[in-house]
Amino acid sequence: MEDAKTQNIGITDFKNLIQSVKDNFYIDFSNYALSSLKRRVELFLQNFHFNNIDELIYKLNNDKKFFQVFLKNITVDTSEMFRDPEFWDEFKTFIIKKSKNNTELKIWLPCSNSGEELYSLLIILEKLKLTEKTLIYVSSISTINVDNIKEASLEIKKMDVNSANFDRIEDGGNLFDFFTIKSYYAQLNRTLLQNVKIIHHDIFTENAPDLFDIILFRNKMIYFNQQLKNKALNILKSALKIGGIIAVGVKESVNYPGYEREFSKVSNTEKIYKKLVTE
Amino acid sequence: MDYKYIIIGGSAGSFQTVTNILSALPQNYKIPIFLCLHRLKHIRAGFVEALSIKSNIKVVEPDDKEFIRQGKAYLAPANYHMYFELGNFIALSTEPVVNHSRPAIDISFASAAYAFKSKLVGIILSGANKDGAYGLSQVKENGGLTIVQDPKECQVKTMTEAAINATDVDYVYSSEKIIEFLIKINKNI
Repeated sequence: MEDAKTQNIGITDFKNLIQSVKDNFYIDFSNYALSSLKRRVELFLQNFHFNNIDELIYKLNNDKKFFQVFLKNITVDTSEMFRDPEFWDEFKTFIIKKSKNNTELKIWLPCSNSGEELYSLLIILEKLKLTEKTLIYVSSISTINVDNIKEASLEIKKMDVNSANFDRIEDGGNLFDFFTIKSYYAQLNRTLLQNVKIIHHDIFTENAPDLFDIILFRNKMIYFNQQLKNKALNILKSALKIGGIIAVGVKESVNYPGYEREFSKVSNTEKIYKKLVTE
Repeated sequence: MDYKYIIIGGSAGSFQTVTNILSALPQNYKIPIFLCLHRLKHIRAGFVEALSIKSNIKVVEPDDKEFIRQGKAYLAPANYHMYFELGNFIALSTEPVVNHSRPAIDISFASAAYAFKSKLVGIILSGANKDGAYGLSQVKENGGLTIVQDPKECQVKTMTEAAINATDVDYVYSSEKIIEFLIKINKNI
């Protein structure tokens, strides 16, 4: 649980930080949604006992490892497995359809900052007996997040909500069949990770790692402003095969001007879109 | 004073009060109302429908980056925090729970206070934890107006008492007085 209270930082200070990160680390946060990013930075200042932004900028510029700690703390992700069980039921049908037409299924989870979404997908694939048939890329801008996702180890106390969500999926079974309990942690069975590449990658500055059948991009664009959101969608569109599927969060949409020529909505409630033939 | 935004926070015991407010406001009520109410994280459907039954104004669960319009009530969606961005739109987030809650009243109120300053009215209703106390203090600090439902009429007093303890609130009102006040400020718009 996080503190509600944060020490308010001024807009000029905030912009100075963003500029410094951009100049020194080539990661551009200037088109992130202001309100949540500002809160993340304020919480970080508070939790790491900085008196002001200048102290933080100085520390970041002189301690590369600490920059990674900063990145881990200001990036956000879904903190539970099988968030929106209704989504997973629906998504499963698209995975099955796709797997019938392809010998190999390539799936990408860009901008991942924690592993919950990946582990959920892996369990669904295993239940569909598709683990061997898939190649999954998971990418994050934070090296600490990359390492944590590779660990595939979740705190036991978080498993209650994960398990409750799993129980709401049709023929869910028992979530703990896919984990080994090690004291306070639940370790995802390693065999599920055999065809997963977890990489350090920035979608805005680097080329997509492959061409994909499915992109899972739920609740990522909520951290971007409209401009960056459109840019991300454009990049991901190019990384999708024709007929490929992209899923965004239930409160997000693919809705940039002219999108109808490039995507068709294939699930209304669960926000799943299919890339159309475009020339 | 011209108030242009209203934000209401509540949890246990607030549903009836929110319904009473929404059914008492006239159909042409202009000021947008944000509702941050504790709700079950995993149940997406049903709440907005339940609030809509008796409401005279349209109640919606906003999408991310939805533009804020007059004449609507915006209910924080299940399992998201609800923020307000400069430029008059709503932003959602899946950050960790705050005060055991997502949506957290503190986050929505603090964000609204920062974005809307003295144009905001913040109202805390019946509830079972202290979520909202910090948020309401931010409304006050940013020049907004603060109202707390009279704890005497609340099913659960914890939330309103915590809010009153944290902030020198402008008014402690019964739900009837809250409705009267909301109708009065709409006339200035």
